[in-house]
Amino acid sequence: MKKQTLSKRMSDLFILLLLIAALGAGKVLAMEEFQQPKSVQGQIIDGTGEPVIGATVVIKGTTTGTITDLNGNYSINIPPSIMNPVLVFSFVGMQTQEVAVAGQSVINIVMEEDLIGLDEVVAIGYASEKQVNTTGALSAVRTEELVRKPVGSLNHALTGKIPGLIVIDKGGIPGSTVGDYQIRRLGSPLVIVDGMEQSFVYMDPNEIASITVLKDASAAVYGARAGNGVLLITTKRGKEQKARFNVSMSHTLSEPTYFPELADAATYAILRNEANITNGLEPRFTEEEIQKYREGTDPMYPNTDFWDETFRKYAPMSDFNMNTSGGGNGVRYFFSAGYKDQGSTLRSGDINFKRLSIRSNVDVDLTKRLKGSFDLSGRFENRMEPGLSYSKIMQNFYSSLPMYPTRYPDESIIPYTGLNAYDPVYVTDDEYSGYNSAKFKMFRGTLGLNYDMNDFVKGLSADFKFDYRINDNFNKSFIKTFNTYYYDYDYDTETYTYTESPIKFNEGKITLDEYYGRNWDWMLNYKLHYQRVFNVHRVGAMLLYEAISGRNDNFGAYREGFISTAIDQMFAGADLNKDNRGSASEDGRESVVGRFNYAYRDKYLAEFLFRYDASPKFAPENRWGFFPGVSLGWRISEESFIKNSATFIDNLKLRLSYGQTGLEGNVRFNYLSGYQMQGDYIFSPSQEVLPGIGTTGMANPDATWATSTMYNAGLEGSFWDQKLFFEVNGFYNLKEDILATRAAAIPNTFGAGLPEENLNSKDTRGFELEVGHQSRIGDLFIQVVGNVSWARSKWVHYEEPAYATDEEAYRYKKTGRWTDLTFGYLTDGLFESQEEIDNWADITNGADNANIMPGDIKFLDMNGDSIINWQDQRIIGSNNVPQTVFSLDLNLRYKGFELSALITGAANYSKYYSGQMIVPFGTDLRCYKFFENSWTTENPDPNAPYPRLRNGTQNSHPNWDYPSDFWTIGKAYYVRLKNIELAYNLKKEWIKPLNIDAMRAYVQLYNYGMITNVRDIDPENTVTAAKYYPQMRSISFGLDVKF
Amino acid sequence: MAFLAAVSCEEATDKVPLDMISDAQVWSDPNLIDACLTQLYNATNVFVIWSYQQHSPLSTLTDESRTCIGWSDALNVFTLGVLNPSNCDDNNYLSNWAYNDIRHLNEFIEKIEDANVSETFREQRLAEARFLRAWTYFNMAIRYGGVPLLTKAQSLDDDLYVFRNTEDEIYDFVRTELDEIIDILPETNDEANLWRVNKYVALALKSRAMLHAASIAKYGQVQLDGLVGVPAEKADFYFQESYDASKEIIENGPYELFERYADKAKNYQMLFIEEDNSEIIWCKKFLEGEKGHNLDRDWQPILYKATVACVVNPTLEMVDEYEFADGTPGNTINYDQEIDTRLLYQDKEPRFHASILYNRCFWIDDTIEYHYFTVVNDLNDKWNKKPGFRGRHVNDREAGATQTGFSVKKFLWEKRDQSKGDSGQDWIIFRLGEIYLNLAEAAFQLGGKDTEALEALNVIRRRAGVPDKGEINMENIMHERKIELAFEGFRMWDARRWRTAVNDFSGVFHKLTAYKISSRNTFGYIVENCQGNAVRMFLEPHYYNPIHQNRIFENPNLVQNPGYN
Repeated sequence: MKKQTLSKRMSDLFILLLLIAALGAGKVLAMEEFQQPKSVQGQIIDGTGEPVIGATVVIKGTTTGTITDLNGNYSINIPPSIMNPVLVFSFVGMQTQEVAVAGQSVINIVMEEDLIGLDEVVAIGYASEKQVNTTGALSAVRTEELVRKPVGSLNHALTGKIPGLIVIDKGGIPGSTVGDYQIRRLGSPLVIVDGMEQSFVYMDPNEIASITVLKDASAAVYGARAGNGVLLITTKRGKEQKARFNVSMSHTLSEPTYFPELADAATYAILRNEANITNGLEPRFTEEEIQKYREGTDPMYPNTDFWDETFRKYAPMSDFNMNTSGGGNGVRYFFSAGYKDQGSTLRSGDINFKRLSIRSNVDVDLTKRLKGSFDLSGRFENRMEPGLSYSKIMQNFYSSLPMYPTRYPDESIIPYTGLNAYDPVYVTDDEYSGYNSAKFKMFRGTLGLNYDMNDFVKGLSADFKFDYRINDNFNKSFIKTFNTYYYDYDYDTETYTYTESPIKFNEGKITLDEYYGRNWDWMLNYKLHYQRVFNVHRVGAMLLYEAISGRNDNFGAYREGFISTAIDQMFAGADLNKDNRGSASEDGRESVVGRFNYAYRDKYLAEFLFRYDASPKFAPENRWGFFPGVSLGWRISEESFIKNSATFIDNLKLRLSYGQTGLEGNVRFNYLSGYQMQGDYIFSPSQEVLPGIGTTGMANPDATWATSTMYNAGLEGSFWDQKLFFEVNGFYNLKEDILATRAAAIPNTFGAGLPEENLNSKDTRGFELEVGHQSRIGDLFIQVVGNVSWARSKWVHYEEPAYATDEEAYRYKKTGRWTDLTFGYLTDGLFESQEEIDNWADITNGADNANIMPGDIKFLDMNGDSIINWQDQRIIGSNNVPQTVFSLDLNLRYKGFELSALITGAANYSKYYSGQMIVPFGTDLRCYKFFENSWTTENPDPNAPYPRLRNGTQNSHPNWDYPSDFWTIGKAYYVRLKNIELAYNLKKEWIKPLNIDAMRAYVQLYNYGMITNVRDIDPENTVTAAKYYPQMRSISFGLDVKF
Repeated sequence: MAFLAAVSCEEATDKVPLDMISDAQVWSDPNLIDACLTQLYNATNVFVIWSYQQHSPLSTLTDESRTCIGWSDALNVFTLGVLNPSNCDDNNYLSNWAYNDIRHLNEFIEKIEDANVSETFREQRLAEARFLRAWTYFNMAIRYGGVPLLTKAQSLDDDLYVFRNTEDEIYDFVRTELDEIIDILPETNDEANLWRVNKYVALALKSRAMLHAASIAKYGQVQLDGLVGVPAEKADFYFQESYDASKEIIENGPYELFERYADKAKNYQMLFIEEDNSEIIWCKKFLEGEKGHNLDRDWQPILYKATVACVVNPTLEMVDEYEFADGTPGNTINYDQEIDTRLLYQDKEPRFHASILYNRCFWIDDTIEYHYFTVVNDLNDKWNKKPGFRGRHVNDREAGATQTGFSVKKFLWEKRDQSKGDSGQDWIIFRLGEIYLNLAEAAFQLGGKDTEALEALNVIRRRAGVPDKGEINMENIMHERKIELAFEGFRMWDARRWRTAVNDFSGVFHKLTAYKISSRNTFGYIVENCQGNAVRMFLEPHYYNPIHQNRIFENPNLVQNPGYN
């Protein structure tokens, strides 16, 4: 077996360090010095005693201000004209403080870390705005927290951080995109990274400056694609300051949260005998054999733990990032390079994911009025699997029964482990099985220009942006072959003899398949931006034109007949059975976006925005869609009656919004009809395969966008200097014109795949509540934030037949009902006697319960017609997306120590068991240990959690695999300690001699500790069968250094 | 900036699907019209696939065999009597609710009328499409009885809530369509188009379909005002139509029974292996590597293939149906003796040896070991030494091992690479052998043609290498069809049209559990239920498939077949 080569990993890391050093060795720019006449000065430190560098100090009501230096010191001149000057101290991520000068010449400030502060600027789509002035339901996440989450993909890191954002951890092999995140349970949101639609789950979190979630009318700036809300991500940029370096590294060890244990050889044999009894067959194993399997010492009767042989205890993951930012002399920069190496739980280590991310964001003042930005980013991902994909490995794993040995004394002889199985120890090892590699390269370049037109029209500026991106996918599967061997053991001589079996991995062939795909996208936009304050009126406007174009081309090729594994290249394969394939597609969009906002005394806020989108997916006359949004805000706390009398109120704002967005769906060009390559046939003895063409179905020239209309009311407030703060939102969303096929409602004798039409509509209602507390008691800083959200949808109209009877309507009608209802049979435990079965309603639809036996599930005859069929199905649950999610986020800081904990949970969802979880000895023969608790002839418990064991399916019922409450947890819930972190910031005096500004070490536990009513499987798992890569819990160690 | 300005924004929305050919292009280009018909040939032969592919081929739902896949839902749903309107798919195993194909055929038939192509081309392809439509309706009628007869592609403005036509109307449609195109279709096709439909393919369908209609008229009942069943008085008319069609093929068609090899067993085996042979009237062609199928992988004895394997396991009843080579009935073997299996079966007729693999028979390069366990002296010590999970004996394999002690040899060939799920042998749809048997049956049923009927039957027996029958009767006809056409997908439909399935497909079917007696190096046998304690059930309603529940929800005008709720 292969060992992981540590030296290889070290050399990877070294090369990376060199690369980063080269990046970082850019020009280090000196900070501009201020020549201020002496007036007020002081130092700003944070809660841990560290100086706050670059904090802003402004005299309230003026534009006069400064920022703190490297030691957190500032000094500011107070013009004599200002009466009763008040200084405003602010810094990103810190609570803003106002201090009256009142004759002091030295003011030292301790700044408190903030949640998303009122004065913090948040991205709102094509612009940014102070949170306090926004009128939409939007939430922002502090990105430092995401950076440290020990998860493989970024979506998991958002869990519990945003009210209304539902994140389901579906497990997933390293580098897979498994995982579900939805805003307000509406479906997959649009993700925009620096203005362009882009997947974010594998971004390096260190590059991200902010993540904002647009939940209501505010999403209307993204128009046709934004019907499920928008996740807005911006990357970090440089500031005019001395170069600062951040280095962070972490190492994580993960193990499955839960994986059902498989039966060992003896247990398997006992359960198998039991199943044979049911099916009227001879017992499969004798008592003596079972005893031998139990002992596991006789080489002819092994008891192999394939789990232990195939999987190791922990999967490793390492993250490393180095970035630098700074600026001066009209140039600002942010450079970042990050590296991730994530391993799997395979002992062979041959499933892994590596990612290198680089980014360079540069801003340049080209002239006094013209600013340019030039961003380059790249991501290189490499996903490796052995010759079988994970799900196939699991299939082999399950088909390899514990009665087979996993290796022989001679390890070059590979054991036969079953008819449908290859020894998982060998298939997981690329030396034996070959490899599947998927290389992904993303390169994106952005050119931006901003022209300040203050000289012509005060407050006006123009922007131009051009974005170009290439995604490359290169997948290569080089699959090897090996023979498998039976064995015999001679007890006298204690030797093994091996016989070759007919079972050969990859059918005895060495094969190579390659796939190359490339996406090109470009985006172009022109923007005019106007912002001006006229006395008490603040007015803003934006007008934007955007064009997006995308194109995909791909092709693949296949060869077999390689004479050896020495060359894994196409040319080395034989000509027989070689194959190639390919396809192409294109897409595009044109849009006009506008936004106008007005604020009176920053008290009454109003915003109107719209987007006008065109998509080539629809016929020219239906191409354009108009998506408007209006939102209003009333900052009650600015009213004099509050300001004067209720001074404990920091902020209180009421918001109302209405907005329309669109949903494009997956429809492609369904306004056109034609023919596509489809099928083939041989007419001639010479065996020429003639390609065929088939119709694409009927066209629907009227197809257009589905619209999503969101009504939102929100109230947010903060009291007693944030000792209490809250935000509550209630919403109602109506999706109309959802594309659906009329076929559901017309007889299928019509015979055509009808085009999708804008037919269905559904509505969703829900709320989000967030409440928090923040305070300081001496050196102890406490912050607690909890949130809870609920959402559920109904079909307002669902295209369906007119059901003839109430029974049909109850069972099948969707219109007017919750969208997540699931029907199934109701059950009442297990049959106790043949007599009971004979008197029971007919479960077998005419066969008079012929094959039903004691220990089988008792399905209930709900309508009393003595036959159990669809008419007896009732609602047994909802679906697997929770209606309710909640979290509690706790942060404590004491001097250099930080403790944070995140508890998340979900409720009101259903867990369905099916496939492997309910059928032992099925397709792949495995059997979980928990089937020990089944009904058996020895222990005929009518309330046993699993029914009588059978070979194959529980097939006595015609709808045996239909959901029933027996295999369902209708109201599932879980509360889990998602995350707990303990960190220590090293004392400044210790690290100063090393020229280090700050150093933070932490240890973190992820997904440890849980309360749930879900059995046998992780409660977040939505895959009912168990051939999934499990959810992981992990422990991680990390170090962040700033210098 | 100049470059950027040059990026025309029009370009962003000026996009088309890159994989679509427009309607106008297709209907003015004979090559594309041909491609369109090519796909229709491909699509409408899909139920051919159900005859032999998948885990539960049609054969395994009859008394011929069972599948080794114990968890096969088809096996359970279709054989345990629990078929109902919600567990029958539209297109699966037994079912074929083929209205998508019907629409595509109707569209083709309408659009080629106005296509800008030569008259001969139009006439020719139109006739082929009409054949495929008749073929598709026939295949629906044998499953559902009467179905809505749609001969035009509906538009959404039409009344879509159609009613079922009577079963007789469907057979009548098949008959009149075939009569009209028989004279248009060519007698023979050139080499490049050999397996396109020709006149004799149409006659072969007529021979089969009319026999089916006639049998239902004779043996079935008219129910639901004729939605199922054919009026009894039409029996003779349909028998005559079938008889005439069969006779024309035999007398005028360019086909000959396959008789290339002197060894009768080998001859029968190679009939299904040698492609494009003289007996084939119509087949679906396959090509290894490009358009292959999984028959070898799935039907092959376990020794030679991993994964699925050994899917079709003949019942002991089927094995016993094969006569001895001297023409005596095959069900007289005494299994209560210690004897090598080869000796048990050595006197079976040639088609047995070409069709069945059994314990101890030789296959490819080895002796097949279909024995289930080994004992030292007798059954009392059978657990003393058991193969466990290591040897090559049959019950080592949890799946993919024969469940009856037998597997199918027919369609397999020793010289083909057995290890791949990608075989190229063609699947014969119509062959002259069937036509002789159709002729025999129709002639017998018409009366007064017994000599002709007996001769047609004996032609097949002679070719197979078994002695002539001296007498013609339904029993002999049924037996001969069961053996000659075994595992080809006929049995289900024959037993349904004769209305014998309630008897033939119900009850316990047996396996032959062979065990080795090591002390005497011989074999013993146990005859037992091949499905454990399960009893098969084919009930009266099952002569017709249920129409799927959803089809009736969509269109309450569709009346469900009798006996389903």
